[in-house]
Amino acid sequence: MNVIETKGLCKSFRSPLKKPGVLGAVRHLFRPEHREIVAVTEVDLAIAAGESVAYVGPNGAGKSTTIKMLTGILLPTGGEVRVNGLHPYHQRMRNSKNIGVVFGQRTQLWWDIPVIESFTLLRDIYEVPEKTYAENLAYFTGMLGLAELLHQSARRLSLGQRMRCDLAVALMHNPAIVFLDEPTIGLDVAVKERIREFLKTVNRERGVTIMLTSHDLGDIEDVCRRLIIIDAGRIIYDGSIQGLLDRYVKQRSIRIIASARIDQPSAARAMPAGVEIVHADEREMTVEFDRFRYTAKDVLEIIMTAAEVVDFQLEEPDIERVVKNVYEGRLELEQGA
Amino acid sequence: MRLSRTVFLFSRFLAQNIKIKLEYKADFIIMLFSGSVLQLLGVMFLGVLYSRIPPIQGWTMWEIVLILASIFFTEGVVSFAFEGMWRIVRLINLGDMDRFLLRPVSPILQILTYDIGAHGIGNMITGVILCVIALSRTEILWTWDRILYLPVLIVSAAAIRTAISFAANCSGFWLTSFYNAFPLMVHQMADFAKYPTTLFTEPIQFFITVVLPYAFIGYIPAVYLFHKQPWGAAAWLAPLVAVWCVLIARAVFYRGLRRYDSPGN
Repeated sequence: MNVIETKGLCKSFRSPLKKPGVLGAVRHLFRPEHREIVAVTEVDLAIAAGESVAYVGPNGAGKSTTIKMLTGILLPTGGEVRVNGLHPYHQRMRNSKNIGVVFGQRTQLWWDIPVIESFTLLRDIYEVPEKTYAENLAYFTGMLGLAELLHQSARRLSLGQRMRCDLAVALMHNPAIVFLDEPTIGLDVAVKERIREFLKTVNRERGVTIMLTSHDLGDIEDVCRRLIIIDAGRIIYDGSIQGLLDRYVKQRSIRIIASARIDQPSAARAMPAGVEIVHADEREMTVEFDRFRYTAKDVLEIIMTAAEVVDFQLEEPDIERVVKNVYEGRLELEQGA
Repeated sequence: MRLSRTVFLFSRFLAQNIKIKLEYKADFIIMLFSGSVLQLLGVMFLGVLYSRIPPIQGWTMWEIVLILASIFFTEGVVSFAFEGMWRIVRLINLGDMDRFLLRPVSPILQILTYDIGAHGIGNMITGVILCVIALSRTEILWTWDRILYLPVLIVSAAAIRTAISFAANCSGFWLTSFYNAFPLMVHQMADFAKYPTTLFTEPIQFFITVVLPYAFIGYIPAVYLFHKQPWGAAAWLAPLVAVWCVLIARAVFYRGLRRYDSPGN
């Protein structure tokens, strides 16, 4: 069963078009001009219960806008959307009982009161039964190490401490889905680890569906099994992480160390089309090859005709490079396949 | 939302806000007094005015003080309980409205209870004191329907004021400046309600009876209570006017919310 489903989901904003200076502002007052900014267009999503999905794309690609439509904050300008079978905007209050939300930049906690009081307020807001609340509180306190934080006010917490509390808040009412927008932004490695571990556990043990956006590839690889890439408001990839690599990463590379000096010109001549020396030193060489045309063995054999190989290292294609390419707008998606 | 749940959550939020305010004691006390001082200055001004001129259109000074007192009191109730509406522009511009939209509670309730105004307590106290003094110096023929009318008036007047100021603050959805003077202007127009409406020209009378029905929070109830005019019973329309204002304010809010673009991130 799909817990999140969208078809042709669109969102555009109207932004005032003002000429600079006082004159421009006055002119805008009398003859306002606007510009349509398309944030998200034709987004189709189908996410099943229990999945963990990374929603990835460069800044301004439409990640947050999509999340805000799925959580009922923004009204879509077009298309269909269903979350747990409900329309998130028109049935906002019912939808909000089934979802948990963490925005890395914002907090659900009340700034001036102890964390535990925010928790009890939210318990009343979400009408969480006393027994469920007590169980969840104990569970989250243990897993996220909240014991010392509960009696401090939110304003005194560090970013990492606050984020741990916010995670507990998002899951306190046993939502079916949790949306996380940049949950690890600005956090140190230890806290990131802890948060990822926590997300994996609630996904596995409680079957909570996870949809997260992140710029941190560790989050994506570690927590999510499925990757959706959005760029300029459009979905450009939806599938497994391995599938992305298979489709879009053609090159693999091999690094060798030779026992004697390598004769570079003759080595270069020995490489067939699709195999290329990308780095060469006196006794070291890195060769990149099309992994769909050659196996590592083929390439190693070719290299061995030109150099006395004593050691080699195979570098696997990695997600980091692909996503980095997307962020830099360099992914040649169509040619890649 | 169910009424019992709304009342329960309202009291939870209110209690929480009071607790927070009490942590900053000095602030709280200053706010409390500033409310009373401001209103008392207004009354003193009225006293000076009346010491120079005869009763205005058959209204004595103490009768007008009674209108003022009831307005101070409801104003106090509104700003104490629903001060949060004055934060709408901020909530919109900083994207903090997001949080309210993620919870299974009416965003309107969450906005209204986002803050409390300590000066509201000062206004309420001033209102009560002035009311007691004014009642001892005016003649009201207390019939049972007039006694029954008092709680109706307080609730209706508070609802009318809240709805009008709330709707005016919703202008923030359209006017995206941080310095939006419109809500304050609308709020200040309630000053018209402090004096007999018949003092003003007809367009203004129409305006404060129909467009922004502030006349129903002060003047019209006073006409009724003092048996000034045969049409005074129109004061019983106040609850209907209140419901009308609340429905309009609600519609304005949800209309505006469609425009909310959740800035930030």
